[in-house]
Amino acid sequence: MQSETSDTNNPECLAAAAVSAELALGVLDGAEREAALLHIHACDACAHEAATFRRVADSLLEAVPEATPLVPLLVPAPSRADAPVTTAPAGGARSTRRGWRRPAWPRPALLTPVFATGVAAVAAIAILLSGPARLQSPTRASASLTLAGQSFGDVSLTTGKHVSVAISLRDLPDVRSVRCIVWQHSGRGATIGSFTVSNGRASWSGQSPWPVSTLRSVELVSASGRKVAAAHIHF
Amino acid sequence: MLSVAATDEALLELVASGDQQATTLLVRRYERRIYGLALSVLGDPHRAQEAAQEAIERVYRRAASFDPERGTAGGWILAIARNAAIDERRRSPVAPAAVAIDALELASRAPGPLDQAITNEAVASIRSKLAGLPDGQRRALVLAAWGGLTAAEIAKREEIPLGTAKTRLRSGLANLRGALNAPAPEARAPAAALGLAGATAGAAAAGAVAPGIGGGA
Repeated sequence: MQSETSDTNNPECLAAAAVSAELALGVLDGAEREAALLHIHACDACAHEAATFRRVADSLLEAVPEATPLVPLLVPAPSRADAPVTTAPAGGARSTRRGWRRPAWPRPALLTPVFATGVAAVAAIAILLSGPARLQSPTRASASLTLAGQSFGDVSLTTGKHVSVAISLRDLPDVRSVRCIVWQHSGRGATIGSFTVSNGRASWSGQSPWPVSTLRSVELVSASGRKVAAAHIHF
Repeated sequence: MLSVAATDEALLELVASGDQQATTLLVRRYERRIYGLALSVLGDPHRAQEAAQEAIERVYRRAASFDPERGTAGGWILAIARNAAIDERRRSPVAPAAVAIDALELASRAPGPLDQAITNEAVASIRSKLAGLPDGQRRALVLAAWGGLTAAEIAKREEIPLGTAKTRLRSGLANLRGALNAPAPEARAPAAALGLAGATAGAAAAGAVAPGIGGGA
C-alpha cells in the first residue's frame, strides 16, 4: 500500500497523472493506457485521482446532447423455446440479426404495393440465383439448456458470416463460472469461452469455430469440470 | 410489474437476467442519448443508427458484467456506446475535424432535444459547470467526451501542440471536478453555455477564467 497522496517526484505517478484525464474520458489507447492502468492498480493515490476523474467524465458523458434515431432502436430479445429446438426461416417476419426484435408498430413504407412488388422481385431473383434450398436454411436456432430434465436457460445459435452462440442462464445453482464448449457430430469439441454466473444468472455470447450445421450440442462446464447444462442441436 | 421509475442499475440487473420488459424500458430510456452520442462521434445519421444499434447489443450482452462500484450505469452504458461509435468510425475513417465540427454544430442547432435534456437537473448542472470553463478546456473536453477524439486528434483539429491538448483535457476535467464540488455558480443559457455555435480556431484558445473556476490552458 502506498501513500494516499501522489508522489510528485515519482516519474510513474507523474506519467499517470499526465494521462489520467484521457484515461477517464476513454480516449487513451495502446501502450499509454496499459502503462497507466498498471501503475494505477498499484498506487492508491493515483487510483483515487483516476476514480474521481472517472466520475466527472461519466457525468459529462451523461450530459451528451440527445437526438432522435432515424428509426427506434431494436430491442434485444432472448431466444426462448418451449421445444428443445426451434428454428426461424430466413427472411421471416421476426427474423432479425442476432435475435433482435423489431418494434411492434408497423413501418408504413414496408406496406406499400411498390415496396411489396420490389421485395417479390428481389426474392424471385434470389431464388433463381441461389436456389430454394438456400432460402430454406435456418438463420437462428435456439434450444433449452438442461440437465436431468431441468431447464436452466437457453442457447441461441445464429448463422451467417459468424456463428454466434448466445447463452442466457437463469436459476443455475451453485456455480460461479462456466466454460462453454461446442461439440460437433464428429465428436470434436472446442471451448469457446467462459463467463461468470451471478446468482444463477448470466448473459453471454461467443462464436463457434465451426458451421452451425456441423454442431451437435453446446455444453456448460463448471470450473471443476462438472457438466452443469447442455443443449442438443438438431438441424 | 416493473416500475418505469426503476433505477438504471436495477434495470441492468434485470436485463442481465433476460427480463424483456426491463430491456425494452432501458432501450427506450437511453436510445436518444446513445444515438446522440453516436451522431456526435460519427456525424452521419445512418452510421450513427448502426452504431447505436450495435451499442444496445453490446449493453445487452454485457449487462451481467456491470459493476455498480466502478461507476454509474449511465456512464457505463454511454461509454459502451461511444466505443461502438469509435469502432464504427475506425472501420471507415473520416476526418476527425469534420466529424467533431458537424456534431458540435448539430448540438448547438438543436434547441428541442437540448431543452428537453436541460429539464434533467443533473444534466443541467453539468452543462452549467462546463459552460464556466475556459473555451479551450471546454472544447477539448467536449471533443473528447462527446466526439470521441484522442488528444492527438484534438491537437490536429484545434491546431495546437499535443502537449497543449493534453493539458487542456487534464485542466478541464480537474476544473470541472472542482466546479461540481463547489456551490453552484451563475448558470448561463444552455446553448450559449455550451459555447458550441460558431466555434472557430480563435475561440479555441484558452480564454478568460470564469469566477470560481481555476485557470490554465
